[in-house]
Amino acid sequence: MDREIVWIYLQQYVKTKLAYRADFIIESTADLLYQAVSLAFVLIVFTQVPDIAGWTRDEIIGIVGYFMVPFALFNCLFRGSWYIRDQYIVEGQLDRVLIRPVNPLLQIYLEMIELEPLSGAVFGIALMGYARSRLGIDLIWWEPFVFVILVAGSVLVYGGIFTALAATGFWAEGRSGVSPLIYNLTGYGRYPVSIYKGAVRWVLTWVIPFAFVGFYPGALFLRHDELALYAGLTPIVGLIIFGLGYRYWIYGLSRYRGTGS
Amino acid sequence: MIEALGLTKEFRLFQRREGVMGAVRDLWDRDYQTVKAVDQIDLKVNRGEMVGYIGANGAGKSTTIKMLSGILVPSSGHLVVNGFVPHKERVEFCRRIGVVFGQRSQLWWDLAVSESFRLLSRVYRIPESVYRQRLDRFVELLEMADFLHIPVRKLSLGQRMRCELTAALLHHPDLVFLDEPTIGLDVLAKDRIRRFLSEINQELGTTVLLTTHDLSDIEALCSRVVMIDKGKIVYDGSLGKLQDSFGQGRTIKVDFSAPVNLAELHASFGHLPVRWETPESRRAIATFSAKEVAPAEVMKILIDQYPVLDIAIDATKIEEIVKEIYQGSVMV
Amino acid sequence: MNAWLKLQYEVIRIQFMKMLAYRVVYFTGVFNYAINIGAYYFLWEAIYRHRSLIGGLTLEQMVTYVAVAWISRTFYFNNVDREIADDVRTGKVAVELARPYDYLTFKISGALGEALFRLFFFTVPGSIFVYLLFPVAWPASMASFGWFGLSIILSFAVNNAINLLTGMTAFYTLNTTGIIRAKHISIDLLSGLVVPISLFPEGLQLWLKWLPFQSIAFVPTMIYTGALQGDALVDALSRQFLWALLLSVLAWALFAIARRKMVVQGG
Repeated sequence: MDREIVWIYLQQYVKTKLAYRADFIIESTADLLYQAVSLAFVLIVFTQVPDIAGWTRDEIIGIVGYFMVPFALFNCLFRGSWYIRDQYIVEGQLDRVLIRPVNPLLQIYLEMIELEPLSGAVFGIALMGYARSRLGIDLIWWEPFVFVILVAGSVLVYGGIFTALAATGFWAEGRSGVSPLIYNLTGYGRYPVSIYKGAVRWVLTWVIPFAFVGFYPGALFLRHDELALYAGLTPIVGLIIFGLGYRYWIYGLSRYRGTGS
Repeated sequence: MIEALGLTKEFRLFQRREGVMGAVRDLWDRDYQTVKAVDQIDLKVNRGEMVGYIGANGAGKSTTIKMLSGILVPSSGHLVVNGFVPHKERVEFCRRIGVVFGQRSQLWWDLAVSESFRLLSRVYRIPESVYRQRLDRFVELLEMADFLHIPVRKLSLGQRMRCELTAALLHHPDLVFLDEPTIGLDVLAKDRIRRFLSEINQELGTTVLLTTHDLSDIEALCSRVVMIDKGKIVYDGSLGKLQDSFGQGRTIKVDFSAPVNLAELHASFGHLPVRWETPESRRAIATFSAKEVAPAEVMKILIDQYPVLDIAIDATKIEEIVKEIYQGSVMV
Repeated sequence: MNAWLKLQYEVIRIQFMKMLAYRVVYFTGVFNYAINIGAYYFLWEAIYRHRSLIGGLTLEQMVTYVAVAWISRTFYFNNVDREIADDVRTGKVAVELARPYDYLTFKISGALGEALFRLFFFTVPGSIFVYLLFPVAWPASMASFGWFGLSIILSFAVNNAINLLTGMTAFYTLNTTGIIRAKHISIDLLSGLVVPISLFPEGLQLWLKWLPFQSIAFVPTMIYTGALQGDALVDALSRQFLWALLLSVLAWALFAIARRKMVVQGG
C-alpha cells in the first residue's frame, strides 16, 4: 500500500537528521549508556555469585543482548507513541495528520522515527555474539532468519502495548503515568523470566507478555530448546498484541476532540 | 458538495476546583460539564461556491470545520461531504480535499519548502510532470520563487501562508477549508491571497469554505455568508442581505446654508421615526432604520423644506453589524 | 529580607499547587517505583537462592537497601535540569533574567516546593505501599532514622546542584536531551541506586569515594540500615555537606558566567 510513502518519509528524516549531527552522536551515546547500565548490573552481580537460579553469567549476557535488539527497534520505530498524547492529541497536531490521505498512526510513527537507539541493537547483537562464543555455540544457517522473525514479533509486542497506552490519551485529559509504568515493566523481560516466582512469571508471559521481548526468544539462541515452544509463539503473540493495540487506537481516534472549538 | 443535517458536537469539560483543598478533591472526584460546541446545524454548500463561515471565538466555527474535514467525529447528525462520510472514509476523502489552518502549519518545519511540496506530491500521488506544472503555476501566482529553498521555520508569516495554500491546493482538491487564512497578515499579503483564491476558484471550480475574523476577506471573495453563534447557525444568505436584515440602520448627515433648529426638524419629521441631532448650528444628523423609513423620503423632505448644501448617507458597516450580533444586541 | 523570604515562600507554594494539578502521575508514580523495586526484589530473590550472604549483606538487608534507595529517590529527584534547559532553548530565560529576582534562587525554591510535594504525595504513600509489599526492615535505630532524614536532605541538595549544572549546559550546547538522559542514567548507577556500591569492584569503589554521586543514594541508605555509625557517619555526612556546598557554588559561578555571556552576546 503506502510503501513508497514510508520510503519518502525516511528520506526526509535522514535529510533533517544530517543537519543535526552532534545531536545524533550524543543521543546515540546516551542510548548506549542506558544499555551499559543494565549490563553493569549483571557484571557486578556476577563478581559476587557464579549463577542466578542456574543461569550463568554468559547466558544472562546473551539474553540481555537479545533484549536490547527489539528494545532498540521499538524505540526507533515506535518512538512516536511517547508523543502521541502531548504533541498530537493535546496540542492538536493530530489535526494535521488527519487531513492527509495516509494512515494516521503510520504517519505519526514515520514522522517520529529516531535512528539513534539503533546503537543499542548493534550493542545487543555484539553481546549475543560474545555470549555465544563463550558458550561455544556455532551459527546454524536458519538462525539469522529466525532471529529476524522473532525480533519482529518482539517489536510488535511493544508496539501494540504502547500504541494502546498512547490511545488512552483520547480519554484522559492530564498526563497519565501509565506509560512510564509499563515502560519500567519492560525491565522484567530483560532477565530469564524463569527465575521469577510463579505469579510474576505468569503475568509476564500471559498478561503483559514482556517475556516475549527478551527471555523466550533470547533463550532459543542460547540453545535452551526446552523453551523453543514459547520462542515460537513470539510472532503470534506479537501479531495479536499489535492487532489489539491498533483496534484500541482506532476506537480512541473516533473520540478525538481536537483543540480549541 | 457539503450536506449537513442536524450536525452536533458535544464536549465534556472538566471543571477544576479552586484552592489547595479543591485541587486535592479533584484527584478523585471530578466535575464535568457537557457543552454543545455545535448544535443541530443544517448546511448545504454547492460545488464551486465560496462560502464565508463567520462567528465569534468559541462560537463553534473550528469545530464545524473539523467535522466537515473528517478530523472530528460528530456526536450526532447526518453529514456527507464530496460524496463521503468524512470520518468514516477518511483516507479516500482526504485525497480530494485541502485544509489550511492559519494558526498551525502543516508543512514540515525543518524541511525546505520545496521538499515539503515534493513530499506532499507523493502523499497525494500527483504524477511528476503534473506536479512540476502545477508547482510552477503556484509559484508564479503566489510569487514564491525567492523562498522555495528555505526551511519553513525561517519563513515570514505571509510567506508561510502562501506555502500553506500551495500545500492545500497542489492536489487540486474539490473542496478546501481555510481556517483564518489571512490572520496576522498585512493588507498587501491579504490581497495577494484573495486574488489567488478567486483565481483558483474560477479556474478549477474549487469549492471554498472560509472562516475568518476579517470581513473584508468575505467581502472580497464570498457571495454567501453563514454565521454561527453559540453552536447554532444564525444567518445563511448573501452578504448584501446580511447587511439588509441586520444593517438597516442609516445615518444622514446634512449641512445647511443657514442655522436650523432641532424642534423645527422634529416637527417636519414628526410623522416618521427619525431621530435628529444638531452637533453644530448648520449641521444635523438623522438616524433611522431603512426598514421603517425610506431614505429617499427623508431626503425629499429635507430638500423641499430646508436650505440644504450637502447630504451624505451611510449604511452601517458590516463589522459593526457582526459586532452587534456577537454582542447579542441584535435579535435574530 | 522579609520580602525576599515571602517571595520564596510564594514560589514554593505555587510550585506545590502546580504539582497538585497532575492527578494520575503521582498515583501511578507510586506503582512505578514499586515496579522498579519489585524488579530488583525478584531478581535479588533469585540471586540469593541457595546463598545467604552476598557482599556481606543478607537478602533482607539487600531488599531493604533497594527499597530505601528507591524511596529516597522519590524525594530528591526532580526535573530542574529539564526546566532550565527548556527556558534557555525557548529564550524564556532572557525574560526571567529581566525580572526582579534571581533566576537560580527562583529555580531552587521551585525545586523545594516540588520536593515538599513529593515528600507528602509520593515518598510517604510510596513508603507505606512498599513496606506493605516487600519485606523491608525498619531503620536500625531512631538515631539512624534521624541521621537518615538529614542525609536525604543533603542528597536533595547534591542532586539538585548537579541538575542545575546539567540544565545550564543548555547555554553551551543545543543537545540537552541526550546529556540529561546520560546524566540520569549515570547517576542511577554511580550513586548506588542500582547496586550497592559495596558490591562494586574495589578499584572502582576507590574512585567513587572521590566523586559526589554516592552522596545521593548510597550514603543515606547505608545510614538507614545502620551500616554507617560513629566516625564513618560523621565522615559521610560531612562529605555530603561539602559536595552540596561545592556543587552549588559551582552552579552559581557557572550561571554568572553564562549570564554575562548572554548579556554580552544577546543570547
